[in-house]
Amino acid sequence: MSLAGFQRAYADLAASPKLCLNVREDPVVALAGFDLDARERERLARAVWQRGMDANCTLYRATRIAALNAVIPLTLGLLRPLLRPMLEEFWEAYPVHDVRFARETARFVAWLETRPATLPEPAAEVIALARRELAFEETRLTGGDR
Amino acid sequence: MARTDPGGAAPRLGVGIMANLAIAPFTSVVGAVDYLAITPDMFWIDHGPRPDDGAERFADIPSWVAMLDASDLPMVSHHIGLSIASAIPTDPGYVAQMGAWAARWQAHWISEHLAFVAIAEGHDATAAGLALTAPFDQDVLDLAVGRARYVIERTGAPFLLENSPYYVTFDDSDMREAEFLNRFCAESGSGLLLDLHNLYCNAVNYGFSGHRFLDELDLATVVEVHIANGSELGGMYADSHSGAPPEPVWELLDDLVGRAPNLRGITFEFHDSYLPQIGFDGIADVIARARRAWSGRA
Repeated sequence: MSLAGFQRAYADLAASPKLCLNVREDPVVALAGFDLDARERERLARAVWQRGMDANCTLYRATRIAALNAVIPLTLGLLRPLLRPMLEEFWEAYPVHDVRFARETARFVAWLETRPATLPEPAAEVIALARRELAFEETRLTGGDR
Repeated sequence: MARTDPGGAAPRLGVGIMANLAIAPFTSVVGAVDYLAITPDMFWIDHGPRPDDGAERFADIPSWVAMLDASDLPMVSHHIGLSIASAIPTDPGYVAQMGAWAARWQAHWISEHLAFVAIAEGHDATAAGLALTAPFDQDVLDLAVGRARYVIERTGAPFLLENSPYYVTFDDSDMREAEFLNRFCAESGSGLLLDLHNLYCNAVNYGFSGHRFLDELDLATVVEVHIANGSELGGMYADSHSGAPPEPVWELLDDLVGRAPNLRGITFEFHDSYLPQIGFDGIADVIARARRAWSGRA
């Protein structure tokens, strides 16, 4: 199942600029955990030097931000000054995007709840706002808004 | 060359638009567009493959489906979840839902992108987080052909494959993109959804002529065309559906229409967040220009 290993590695690279840098530095070590044949390893070792891999990484992150912004825009507005480092930490903790927007956001809100000290004051109200926005989306998805 | 018309019995629809929530006030005017292209995955919740407990896997999002209930326009289905190039087993539940949706809305055809959005996670699958284009290799072709045949067999609908934008290339691929698409259509019995803006993106990013690319394609396979706009992303030109198509995309459309004998429709795609910039008047201008191009069809 080498093609499956290649696709896994390619997707992981698109999700992680850090992994891309590691592959640039030492492709053999950085790709050692993937089931790849020599041709696939060579391809990925070259791909990380392409400008388009940066675009893939940007697109991946933009998609994750879009998910949160679609569901909890007001909360993100409050968090804006802190958002960049906060999202870096969140993505480090959860490197794989859940493409279902509500589930990705629920995971983010649950993660926020574990770190009230890092939120703007009053942190409890910020979390409450996030919960309310999330609840609205969940209601919309199940038709309770009609 | 394609031996048969991959559009089957589907009618020539004209000029349509990719449905989004913001567009309903425009499309509800009689004659504004000739059909709606729907991304069904946006209209349902997929709870994922389920054990045999009788639970429904797919559930409508009522406020979205209501928009379709209110429309009597012809529809076509444009999916994002088949993951035709993924090296994982085909999801039969998803394909069954493709067929059920097409039957429910009498979709004239079903389409999907040449990409993988799902990747292997042990014995299961997980989302890649974005659509990625695999190398144009024989094993990917075999995989995609087999999956397309399965979709056609299970749904009974014409199936189209959309060419994707790619931001990373694999220059040692077994074949060129046009050969891949031609062989895919010939071997699977599918047609092509030729996204002219995706083609334009690739032409801009990799410095080739989109018109020459058209010369390499078997244009008898083209059943639907997408037109759109894009924007800069990380040093590349990306397919962002940001408004009215740029002039080179119109030139590609004019070049194509007279040479694609099985063309059934031209679909304008724009993301609803760009509605304030383009406005309904701007959308009407795009539809009018696309209709002028449509009038020159083969």
